[in-house]
Amino acid sequence: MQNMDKRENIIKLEELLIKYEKKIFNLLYSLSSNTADAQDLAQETFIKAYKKIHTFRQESEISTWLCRIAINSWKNRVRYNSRRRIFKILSLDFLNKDEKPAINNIRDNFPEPEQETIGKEMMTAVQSEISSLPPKYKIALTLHINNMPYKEMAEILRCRQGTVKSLVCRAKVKLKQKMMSYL
Amino acid sequence: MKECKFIRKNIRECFDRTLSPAEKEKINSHLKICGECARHYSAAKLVEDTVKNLQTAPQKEVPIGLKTRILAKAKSLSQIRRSFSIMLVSAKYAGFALLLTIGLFTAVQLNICKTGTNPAVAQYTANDFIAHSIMQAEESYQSDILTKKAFGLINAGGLR
Repeated sequence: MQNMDKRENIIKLEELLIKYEKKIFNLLYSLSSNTADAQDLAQETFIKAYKKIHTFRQESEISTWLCRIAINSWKNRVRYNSRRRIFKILSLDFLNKDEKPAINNIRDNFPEPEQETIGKEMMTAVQSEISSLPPKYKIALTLHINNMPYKEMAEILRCRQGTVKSLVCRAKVKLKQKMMSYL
Repeated sequence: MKECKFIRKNIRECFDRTLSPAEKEKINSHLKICGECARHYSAAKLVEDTVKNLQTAPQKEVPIGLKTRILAKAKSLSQIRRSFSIMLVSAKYAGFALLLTIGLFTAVQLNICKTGTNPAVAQYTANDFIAHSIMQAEESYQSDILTKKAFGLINAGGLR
């Protein structure tokens, strides 16, 4: 009987991986700005989901539940690193030649080559400033960047839609203030 | 100064397109003459553009092997759980067997004591205790009857 349950759980996990692996990985990559960390955290997220699948009450979408687990895992990792004084000043992803920074995927809005370079540099600066935002603003902005509707964001963060909008807005204001020093 | 305050307050609305054309015109003309407001506007525009670009950027591909790694981990986890439950059941049986052995050993020891070596310990065995208690009860019952009879005689004789 128990073996049957375990087999069912493995099948459920496979289904979850097929549907949401990319979404969760991209969310964690945006939060941690590092492929290795994103992979570890994605594994942690899905293993936690596998262990606790019987506690899922289906009050929300399963993707919302997974995102919440992912965000909590990331928060725990940040807390763990800060307690042990592990500082990550820069991501070393650029050392991997196959892997290009996310900024290179950005659609071009700058027709002139010089302007394009400046624009990309500035956008990289914005991205690094996003990663230095306080966690609550960073999470809200990252979910917004990942094209998540405000309703789903509110469910993930367990607050009202208005609060989410205000968090995103405040995150942008904070970023703007930081970017003032670059201009 | 008043205009600067208005513009810095409404910079976000410039991008949300909730301002009227007249207000937009007012802001544009002010930005041409005020350097500080232009800086504020540029910073806000940069943030808005970056967010929009990141929203439209293609998603990052998941590294090959992540799914396999997760599934392998989940399977090994269920195996660990199974072996742990087997260990738990065996520990239960082992504990029970140990208790039984200790009980038997104690019983044998007590029996040895009773039959030969130490009579002081032997008198505390269960059977002796029960037999002793029965004898005491019988004695006290007998003495009680005798007392009652004696009291009856005394009462009968004394009053008259």
